[in-house]
Amino acid sequence: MIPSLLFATGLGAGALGALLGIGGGIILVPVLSLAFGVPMQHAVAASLVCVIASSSGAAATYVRDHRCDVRLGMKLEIFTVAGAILGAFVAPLLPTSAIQILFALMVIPAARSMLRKAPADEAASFEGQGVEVRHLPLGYAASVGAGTLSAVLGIGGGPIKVPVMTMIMGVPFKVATATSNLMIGVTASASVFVYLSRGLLDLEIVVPTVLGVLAGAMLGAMAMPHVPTARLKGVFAVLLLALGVQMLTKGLGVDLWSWT
Amino acid sequence: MSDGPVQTTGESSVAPVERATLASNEAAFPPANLGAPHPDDDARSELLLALVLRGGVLSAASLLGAALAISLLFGLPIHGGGGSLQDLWQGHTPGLQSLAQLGILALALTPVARVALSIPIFARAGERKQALIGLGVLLLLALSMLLGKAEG
Repeated sequence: MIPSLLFATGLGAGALGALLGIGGGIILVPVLSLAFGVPMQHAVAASLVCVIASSSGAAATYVRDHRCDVRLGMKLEIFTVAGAILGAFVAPLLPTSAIQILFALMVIPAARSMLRKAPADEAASFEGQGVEVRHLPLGYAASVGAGTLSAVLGIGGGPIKVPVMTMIMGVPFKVATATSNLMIGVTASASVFVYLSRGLLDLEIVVPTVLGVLAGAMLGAMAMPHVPTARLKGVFAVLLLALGVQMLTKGLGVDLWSWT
Repeated sequence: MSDGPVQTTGESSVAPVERATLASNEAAFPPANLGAPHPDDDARSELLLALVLRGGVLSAASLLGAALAISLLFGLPIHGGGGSLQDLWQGHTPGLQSLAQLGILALALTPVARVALSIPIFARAGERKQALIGLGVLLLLALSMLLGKAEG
């Protein structure tokens, strides 16, 4: 019973992750810990493995069909990985709650502007080749910031990378989510090796969930060219809003988890 | 791998007259490994990268699927206490758990393999800058693994 429920959870998180360019941790961590009673540390570890599954499962299709900008993704990867390393160092020195509140104040308006219509929104099909990129240096700087923030706040990079690509660099939304999918697996793998080498993964939870995520990511990537962009942007905005509220409550010291 | 350097040395030894002809030909038919890469090479590099990703995902899915199937069929729990990678190599990890751990290892290696293999793939296609970017990502990734903590 439990393995099939975990598989189903993974299936949903994987499909959504593939469509939105996020790892799915934002969904998996609360579901695993609240619905399945998995301890927080194990839920975070399991969700990191799922980020790789979602990223690689979806990117295999996106790269093959030329849906993502591989070259842009790899350029930004350098900056986000560098930012993540920087973040690991500076995190203990920073006032985390203040950053959580500032991040929330940044992300909530971003959710709003995510809903602004772009000319390419009407078309469901998209092409990752020959995408015109604006403000590349600013995009690099924002990617360092995205990597640092992910490490400091303990969140996945997707919810920051996608807005950076769409809002700052002018990349079409679907190309941005497909490219983000390619990128997020790389940074998650570094953390998973650490968990794996220390034997910190609860395999009974991880195995069925990851299998579900792999299947979900492949289905999501196949469905992507048929889903209207405007609808995806709406869901993304809701997730950004949820992330902003979560960070705001954390920063203000309200423990959302203690309600259950 | 050897295509790039061989062509560059060959080019530098071309006589001035031939060089001029080459230059005028290049204007009409830009070669794939000079300036902007040829679209076909772009596509080929990406197909190879997609193949790396697909291979990693499929091997991980088969190992994890086998572990789950055996566990469900025979009613064996997958988890036998938190074994580390060292236990896995030394054969101290029980069979089912080692199968699952190998599956996760294959999954975790997939993005790393994609970055690592992008270096020769882009270098072969004449995209030297992109190959260097791949090398940079790989080095930073190694650094963050050594430091043992980095997310994003």
